[in-house]
Amino acid sequence: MDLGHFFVIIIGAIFINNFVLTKFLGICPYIGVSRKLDSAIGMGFAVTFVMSVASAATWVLYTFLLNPKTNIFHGTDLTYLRTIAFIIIIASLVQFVEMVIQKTSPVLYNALGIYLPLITTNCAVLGVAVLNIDESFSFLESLVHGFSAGIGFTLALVLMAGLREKLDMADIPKPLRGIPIAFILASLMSLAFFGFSGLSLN
Amino acid sequence: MSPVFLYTLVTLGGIGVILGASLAFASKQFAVEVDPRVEQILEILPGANCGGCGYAGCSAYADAIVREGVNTTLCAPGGPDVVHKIAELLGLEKTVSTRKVAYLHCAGAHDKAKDKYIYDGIKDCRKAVAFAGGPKACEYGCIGYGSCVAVCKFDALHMGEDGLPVVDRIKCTGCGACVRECPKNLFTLEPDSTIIYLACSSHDKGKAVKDVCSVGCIGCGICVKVTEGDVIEMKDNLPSVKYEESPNLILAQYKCPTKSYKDLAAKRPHMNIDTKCKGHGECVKVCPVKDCITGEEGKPHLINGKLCIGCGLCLGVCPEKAIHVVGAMGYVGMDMSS
Repeated sequence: MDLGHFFVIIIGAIFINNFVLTKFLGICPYIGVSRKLDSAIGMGFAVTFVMSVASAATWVLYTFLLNPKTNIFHGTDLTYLRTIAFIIIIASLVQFVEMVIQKTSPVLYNALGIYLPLITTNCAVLGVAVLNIDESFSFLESLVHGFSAGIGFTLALVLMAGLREKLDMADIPKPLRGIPIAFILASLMSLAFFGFSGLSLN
Repeated sequence: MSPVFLYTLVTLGGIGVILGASLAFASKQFAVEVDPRVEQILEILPGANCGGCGYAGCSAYADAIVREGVNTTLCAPGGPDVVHKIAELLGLEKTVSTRKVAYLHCAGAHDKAKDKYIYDGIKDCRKAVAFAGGPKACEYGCIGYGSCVAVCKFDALHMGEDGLPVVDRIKCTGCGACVRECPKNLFTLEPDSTIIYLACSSHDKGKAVKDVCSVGCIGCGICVKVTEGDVIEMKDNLPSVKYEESPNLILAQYKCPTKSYKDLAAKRPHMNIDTKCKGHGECVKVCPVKDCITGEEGKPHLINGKLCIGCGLCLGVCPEKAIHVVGAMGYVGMDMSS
């Protein structure tokens, strides 16, 4: 459990296995909320926050209720409930957090709150929870992985938004304007990020 | 019963009950009280989110009305109807706002105003302006790439064939999006009763204007002299007209040597003299148009309906009250039957 191990998880989640550009998760907000840099940053932080919290919550749920080796049901295998249980817990967690933020901090709510309903059932959030289990991460590792996956998502989103703001100024052929050129841009960025898969961290 | 079935039931059921209960608890505990009037005002507002009121959208404006007591007359697209309904809801006195529409203060069409270079960049006024103030030789003139047309959410602006945007006076809601967008600040919102308006924004001196545009205001100031009251004022070589006082600009438009005033009326009422005329000749003295009123002294006079500009100066001076207004107003591009 040395620091280097966490470093590998962080770099891996941000660059090598970037959720958007390498695993193709969370494409919907990636295209939808990347029109403006401001909203991209807001969305990025909201996703990072939800991913961290969801990683922690789903790890606890999986370890104590579903995993036959460690659960409280005397070794009964309930892992087949993983997807549905994760979705339920993530969705209600996000709803709960939204309500709390709205009550306690209007400033934070205005910055993050409007994006929270968009990510209640986002596949990137579910993806990070499932990957934590597949990689058999510990609680702390799950938390770090969830957080850095969120940072990776933010990075991709902010890069995309910056480029799309520039694209608005460009003289693009009419049929390609809007979403089509955004998809082309996304594929080129994705190709660039595949370059990181050559990175050896062992 | 197999343990897997039982535990599944317990697990999912338990999760559902716990999460449901905590969400229900949270919605009570963390409920944020929203003033119901905000919702009600939001329903009254048109929901165009045009931003004409100066707020981020209709809901932001509704919030500002309730919380900060902002003026209820700011919604231009809604018009007096919305103002009345909001005022009624809040128990305020009814204030009537006059309907305003956008006016373009430039007449420098392709054939009237010269270009100083050929622009081949992005067809957007704000981009073109960045390049030496745009291709128009007149630094105040309309560039004509239609950025205003692009921002109009009500389809009330169209690019004319002469390279100038045309305001659809019926569709225009006076939201002011074009006023804010135009890099040359050529649009203003004026009461829709304005039929004649100054279609030039050039502060240049006469010679400089003449060099670049055939319909530009040279700042001679004759419109100030011929118009009654203090409704026109020369400011930095350009007449500044107080349109909200509904000035009679017929004479100003007639006398303007460069025809910088634009008249939206295709046809306007003219004067007529009836049989009561005893030929005092007072009307001939005040008529600004040559040969418009004719007749020998002492005999009934006649107004040439084709020459009469309808300024109405003769109306007040006739000692016999023999002069009347005949005919109706017609507007360019406006079907009066609707």
